[in-house]
Amino acid sequence: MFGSKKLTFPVKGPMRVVCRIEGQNKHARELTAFLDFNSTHCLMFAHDAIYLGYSDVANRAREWRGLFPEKAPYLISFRGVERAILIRLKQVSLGPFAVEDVTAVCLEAEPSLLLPYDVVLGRSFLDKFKVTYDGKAKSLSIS
Amino acid sequence: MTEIELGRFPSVFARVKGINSKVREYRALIDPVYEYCVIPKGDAYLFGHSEVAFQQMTVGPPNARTLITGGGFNKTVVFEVGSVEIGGLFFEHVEFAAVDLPQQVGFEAVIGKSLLKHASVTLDWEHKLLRISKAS
Repeated sequence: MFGSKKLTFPVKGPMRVVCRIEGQNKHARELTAFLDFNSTHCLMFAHDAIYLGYSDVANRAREWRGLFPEKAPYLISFRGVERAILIRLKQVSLGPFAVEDVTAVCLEAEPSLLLPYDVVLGRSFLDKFKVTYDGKAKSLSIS
Repeated sequence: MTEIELGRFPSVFARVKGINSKVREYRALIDPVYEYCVIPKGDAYLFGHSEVAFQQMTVGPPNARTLITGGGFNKTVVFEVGSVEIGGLFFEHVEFAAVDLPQQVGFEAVIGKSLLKHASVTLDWEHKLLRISKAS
Protein backbone atom coordinates (compact mmCIF):
# COMPACT_ATOMS: atom_id res chain seq x y z
CA MET A 1 0.00 0.00 0.00
CA PHE A 2 1.03 3.59 -0.45
CA GLY A 3 0.53 5.26 2.92
CA SER A 4 -1.81 8.25 3.04
CA LYS A 5 -1.49 9.25 -0.61
CA LYS A 6 -4.78 9.88 -2.33
CA LEU A 7 -5.64 10.85 -5.87
CA THR A 8 -9.13 12.13 -6.67
CA PHE A 9 -10.37 13.22 -10.06
CA PRO A 10 -13.78 14.05 -11.52
CA VAL A 11 -15.62 11.47 -13.57
CA LYS A 12 -16.94 13.03 -16.77
CA GLY A 13 -17.99 10.30 -19.17
CA PRO A 14 -15.29 7.63 -19.48
CA MET A 15 -12.79 7.57 -16.60
CA ARG A 16 -9.76 8.87 -18.48
CA VAL A 17 -6.43 9.89 -16.97
CA VAL A 18 -2.86 10.36 -18.19
CA CYS A 19 -0.35 7.76 -17.04
CA ARG A 20 3.35 7.19 -17.64
CA ILE A 21 4.55 3.77 -18.74
CA GLU A 22 8.19 2.74 -18.67
CA GLY A 23 9.28 -0.19 -20.81
CA GLN A 24 12.06 -2.73 -20.57
CA ASN A 25 14.32 -0.67 -22.87
CA LYS A 26 14.02 2.34 -20.49
CA HIS A 27 11.91 4.23 -23.01
CA ALA A 28 8.80 5.81 -21.50
CA ARG A 29 5.51 7.07 -22.89
CA GLU A 30 2.78 9.23 -21.45
CA LEU A 31 -0.50 7.82 -22.63
CA THR A 32 -4.20 8.53 -22.19
CA ALA A 33 -5.48 5.74 -19.99
CA PHE A 34 -8.94 4.47 -19.32
CA LEU A 35 -9.57 3.04 -15.83
CA ASP A 36 -11.44 -0.25 -15.87
CA PHE A 37 -11.35 -2.40 -12.73
CA ASN A 38 -13.21 -5.19 -14.54
CA SER A 39 -10.30 -5.75 -16.91
CA THR A 40 -7.99 -8.44 -15.48
CA HIS A 41 -4.84 -7.06 -17.11
CA CYS A 42 -3.86 -3.69 -18.49
CA LEU A 43 -4.42 -3.42 -22.22
CA MET A 44 -2.34 -1.53 -24.75
CA PHE A 45 -1.83 -1.17 -28.47
CA ALA A 46 0.95 -3.12 -30.14
CA HIS A 47 2.70 -0.04 -31.60
CA ASP A 48 3.13 1.44 -28.10
CA ALA A 49 4.38 -1.90 -26.73
CA ILE A 50 6.94 -2.21 -29.54
CA TYR A 51 8.23 1.32 -28.82
CA LEU A 52 8.65 0.33 -25.16
CA GLY A 53 10.81 -2.65 -26.12
CA TYR A 54 8.30 -5.50 -26.26
CA SER A 55 8.88 -6.77 -29.77
CA ASP A 56 7.12 -10.08 -28.95
CA VAL A 57 3.77 -8.43 -29.57
CA ALA A 58 4.56 -8.21 -33.29
CA ASN A 59 3.97 -11.99 -33.44
CA ARG A 60 0.59 -13.47 -34.15
CA ALA A 61 -0.92 -14.62 -30.85
CA ARG A 62 -2.19 -17.95 -32.21
CA GLU A 63 1.34 -18.92 -33.36
CA TRP A 64 3.07 -17.47 -30.30
CA ARG A 65 0.76 -19.59 -28.12
CA GLY A 66 2.20 -22.75 -29.68
CA LEU A 67 5.69 -21.81 -28.50
CA PHE A 68 4.93 -20.00 -25.20
CA PRO A 69 1.38 -20.82 -24.03
CA GLU A 70 1.86 -18.87 -20.79
CA LYS A 71 2.68 -15.71 -22.79
CA ALA A 72 -0.39 -15.87 -25.05
CA PRO A 73 -3.49 -16.18 -22.85
CA TYR A 74 -7.09 -16.39 -23.95
CA LEU A 75 -9.23 -13.60 -22.51
CA ILE A 76 -12.98 -13.26 -22.13
CA SER A 77 -14.36 -9.83 -22.88
CA PHE A 78 -17.70 -8.36 -23.91
CA ARG A 79 -16.58 -9.07 -27.49
CA GLY A 80 -16.25 -12.80 -26.67
CA VAL A 81 -13.08 -14.94 -26.39
CA GLU A 82 -9.94 -13.14 -27.56
CA ARG A 83 -6.31 -14.07 -28.11
CA ALA A 84 -3.59 -11.82 -26.72
CA ILE A 85 0.13 -11.60 -26.00
CA LEU A 86 1.11 -10.99 -22.39
CA ILE A 87 3.92 -8.59 -21.48
CA ARG A 88 5.26 -7.27 -18.16
CA LEU A 89 5.61 -3.49 -18.04
CA LYS A 90 8.57 -2.28 -16.02
CA GLN A 91 6.72 0.56 -14.33
CA VAL A 92 3.33 2.25 -14.57
CA SER A 93 2.88 5.64 -12.87
CA LEU A 94 -0.34 7.51 -12.20
CA GLY A 95 0.11 10.78 -10.32
CA PRO A 96 2.01 9.97 -7.10
CA PHE A 97 1.54 6.21 -7.50
CA ALA A 98 3.99 3.96 -9.27
CA VAL A 99 3.72 0.19 -9.61
CA GLU A 100 6.48 -2.01 -10.98
CA ASP A 101 6.16 -5.23 -12.97
CA VAL A 102 2.58 -4.73 -14.19
CA THR A 103 1.12 -7.33 -16.55
CA ALA A 104 -0.44 -6.03 -19.74
CA VAL A 105 -1.84 -7.60 -22.89
CA CYS A 106 -1.91 -6.66 -26.55
CA LEU A 107 -4.99 -8.11 -28.24
CA GLU A 108 -4.66 -9.90 -31.56
CA ALA A 109 -7.81 -8.12 -32.75
CA GLU A 110 -6.94 -4.62 -31.57
CA PRO A 111 -9.66 -2.24 -30.43
CA SER A 112 -10.52 0.58 -32.81
CA LEU A 113 -7.99 3.43 -32.97
CA LEU A 114 -11.01 5.76 -32.89
CA LEU A 115 -11.41 5.00 -29.17
CA PRO A 116 -10.37 7.99 -27.06
CA TYR A 117 -7.62 6.20 -25.10
CA ASP A 118 -4.27 4.50 -25.67
CA VAL A 119 -4.19 2.11 -22.75
CA VAL A 120 -6.63 0.48 -20.34
CA LEU A 121 -5.43 0.38 -16.73
CA GLY A 122 -6.93 -2.81 -15.37
CA ARG A 123 -6.70 -4.75 -12.15
CA SER A 124 -3.06 -5.75 -12.57
CA PHE A 125 -2.42 -2.07 -11.72
CA LEU A 126 -5.51 -1.04 -9.72
CA ASP A 127 -5.60 -3.96 -7.27
CA LYS A 128 -2.65 -2.42 -5.41
CA PHE A 129 -4.97 0.40 -4.30
CA LYS A 130 -8.31 1.11 -2.74
CA VAL A 131 -10.62 2.51 -5.42
CA THR A 132 -13.72 4.53 -4.47
CA TYR A 133 -16.34 5.61 -6.98
CA ASP A 134 -18.64 8.31 -5.62
CA GLY A 135 -21.60 8.67 -7.95
CA LYS A 136 -23.07 11.66 -6.13
CA ALA A 137 -19.86 13.70 -6.15
CA LYS A 138 -19.01 12.30 -9.61
CA SER A 139 -15.48 11.51 -8.54
CA LEU A 140 -13.14 8.55 -8.45
CA SER A 141 -10.42 8.35 -5.82
CA ILE A 142 -7.45 6.03 -5.53
CA SER A 143 -5.65 5.59 -2.23
CA MET B 1 -23.73 0.75 4.01
CA THR B 2 -23.39 -2.83 2.83
CA GLU B 3 -20.18 -4.83 2.80
CA ILE B 4 -19.83 -7.73 0.36
CA GLU B 5 -16.90 -10.07 -0.19
CA LEU B 6 -14.93 -8.91 -3.21
CA GLY B 7 -14.37 -11.86 -5.51
CA ARG B 8 -12.49 -12.04 -8.77
CA PHE B 9 -14.80 -9.41 -10.21
CA PRO B 10 -16.78 -6.75 -8.30
CA SER B 11 -20.26 -8.23 -8.37
CA VAL B 12 -23.40 -8.04 -6.25
CA PHE B 13 -26.67 -9.91 -5.91
CA ALA B 14 -29.35 -7.58 -7.28
CA ARG B 15 -33.11 -7.97 -7.13
CA VAL B 16 -34.82 -6.00 -9.90
CA LYS B 17 -38.55 -5.22 -9.75
CA GLY B 18 -40.27 -4.14 -12.94
CA ILE B 19 -42.99 -1.54 -13.34
CA ASN B 20 -45.47 -4.46 -13.51
CA SER B 21 -44.14 -5.71 -10.09
CA LYS B 22 -42.49 -8.81 -11.57
CA VAL B 23 -39.15 -9.62 -9.94
CA ARG B 24 -35.91 -11.08 -11.31
CA GLU B 25 -32.68 -11.75 -9.41
CA TYR B 26 -29.22 -11.46 -10.90
CA ARG B 27 -25.56 -11.81 -10.02
CA ALA B 28 -24.62 -8.44 -11.50
CA LEU B 29 -21.24 -6.99 -12.41
CA ILE B 30 -20.52 -3.50 -11.06
CA ASP B 31 -19.11 -1.34 -13.83
CA PRO B 32 -19.30 2.49 -13.73
CA VAL B 33 -18.01 2.53 -17.30
CA TYR B 34 -21.49 1.48 -18.47
CA GLU B 35 -23.83 4.45 -18.90
CA TYR B 36 -26.90 2.34 -18.10
CA CYS B 37 -27.59 -0.77 -16.05
CA VAL B 38 -28.09 -3.81 -18.26
CA ILE B 39 -30.47 -6.78 -18.17
CA PRO B 40 -31.23 -9.36 -20.90
CA LYS B 41 -33.80 -8.49 -23.55
CA GLY B 42 -36.05 -11.40 -22.54
CA ASP B 43 -36.33 -10.05 -19.00
CA ALA B 44 -37.03 -6.52 -20.26
CA TYR B 45 -39.94 -8.02 -22.21
CA LEU B 46 -41.10 -9.78 -19.03
CA PHE B 47 -41.02 -6.46 -17.16
CA GLY B 48 -43.60 -5.11 -19.61
CA HIS B 49 -41.34 -3.39 -22.15
CA SER B 50 -42.55 -5.14 -25.27
CA GLU B 51 -40.81 -2.54 -27.46
CA VAL B 52 -37.54 -4.56 -27.14
CA ALA B 53 -39.06 -6.87 -29.75
CA PHE B 54 -39.59 -4.07 -32.27
CA GLN B 55 -36.22 -2.36 -32.38
CA GLN B 56 -35.39 -3.61 -35.89
CA MET B 57 -38.18 -1.46 -37.33
CA THR B 58 -37.20 1.48 -39.56
CA VAL B 59 -38.90 3.86 -37.14
CA GLY B 60 -38.05 2.51 -33.68
CA PRO B 61 -39.81 3.18 -30.39
CA PRO B 62 -39.14 6.60 -28.80
CA ASN B 63 -36.90 5.06 -26.12
CA ALA B 64 -34.64 3.32 -28.68
CA ARG B 65 -30.93 4.08 -28.31
CA THR B 66 -27.75 3.11 -30.11
CA LEU B 67 -25.00 2.42 -27.56
CA ILE B 68 -21.26 2.27 -28.26
CA THR B 69 -19.70 -0.72 -26.51
CA GLY B 70 -16.44 -2.66 -26.72
CA GLY B 71 -18.15 -4.89 -29.27
CA GLY B 72 -19.28 -2.01 -31.49
CA PHE B 73 -22.65 -0.35 -31.94
CA ASN B 74 -25.58 -1.90 -30.10
CA LYS B 75 -29.21 -1.01 -30.83
CA THR B 76 -31.38 -1.27 -27.76
CA VAL B 77 -34.16 0.33 -25.76
CA VAL B 78 -33.80 2.19 -22.48
CA PHE B 79 -36.48 2.03 -19.80
CA GLU B 80 -37.02 2.57 -16.08
CA VAL B 81 -37.62 -0.25 -13.61
CA GLY B 82 -39.58 0.06 -10.37
CA SER B 83 -36.76 -0.62 -7.94
CA VAL B 84 -33.41 -2.35 -7.52
CA GLU B 85 -32.38 -3.93 -4.22
CA ILE B 86 -28.72 -4.56 -3.45
CA GLY B 87 -27.86 -5.87 0.00
CA GLY B 88 -30.80 -4.12 1.69
CA LEU B 89 -30.32 -0.85 -0.18
CA PHE B 90 -33.19 0.21 -2.40
CA PHE B 91 -32.75 2.32 -5.52
CA GLU B 92 -35.87 3.54 -7.32
CA HIS B 93 -36.52 4.65 -10.91
CA VAL B 94 -33.23 3.34 -12.29
CA GLU B 95 -32.69 3.41 -16.05
CA PHE B 96 -31.84 0.07 -17.68
CA ALA B 97 -30.85 -0.95 -21.19
CA ALA B 98 -31.84 -4.32 -22.65
CA VAL B 99 -28.67 -6.02 -23.92
CA ASP B 100 -27.87 -9.73 -24.23
CA LEU B 101 -24.28 -10.08 -22.99
CA PRO B 102 -22.13 -12.94 -24.36
CA GLN B 103 -22.56 -16.11 -22.30
CA GLN B 104 -18.80 -16.45 -21.74
CA VAL B 105 -18.84 -13.29 -19.60
CA GLY B 106 -20.61 -15.16 -16.78
CA PHE B 107 -22.89 -12.25 -15.86
CA GLU B 108 -26.38 -11.55 -17.17
CA ALA B 109 -26.67 -8.09 -15.68
CA VAL B 110 -24.50 -5.02 -15.19
CA ILE B 111 -24.94 -2.30 -12.58
CA GLY B 112 -23.88 0.84 -14.41
CA LYS B 113 -23.73 4.57 -13.94
CA SER B 114 -27.51 5.08 -13.99
CA LEU B 115 -27.66 3.38 -10.55
CA LEU B 116 -24.17 4.16 -9.28
CA LYS B 117 -24.84 7.92 -9.56
CA HIS B 118 -27.01 7.42 -6.45
CA ALA B 119 -24.35 5.34 -4.64
CA SER B 120 -20.79 5.25 -3.43
CA VAL B 121 -18.75 2.11 -4.16
CA THR B 122 -15.39 1.24 -2.60
CA LEU B 123 -13.26 -1.61 -3.86
CA ASP B 124 -10.74 -2.67 -1.21
CA TRP B 125 -8.57 -5.38 -2.70
CA GLU B 126 -6.32 -5.54 0.35
CA HIS B 127 -9.19 -6.68 2.60
CA LYS B 128 -11.17 -8.27 -0.27
CA LEU B 129 -14.22 -6.11 0.48
CA LEU B 130 -16.72 -4.27 -1.66
CA ARG B 131 -18.56 -1.51 0.20
CA ILE B 132 -21.66 0.05 -1.28
CA SER B 133 -23.71 2.81 0.30
CA LYS B 134 -26.50 5.07 -0.82
CA ALA B 135 -25.45 8.65 -1.52
CA SER B 136 -27.29 11.01 0.80
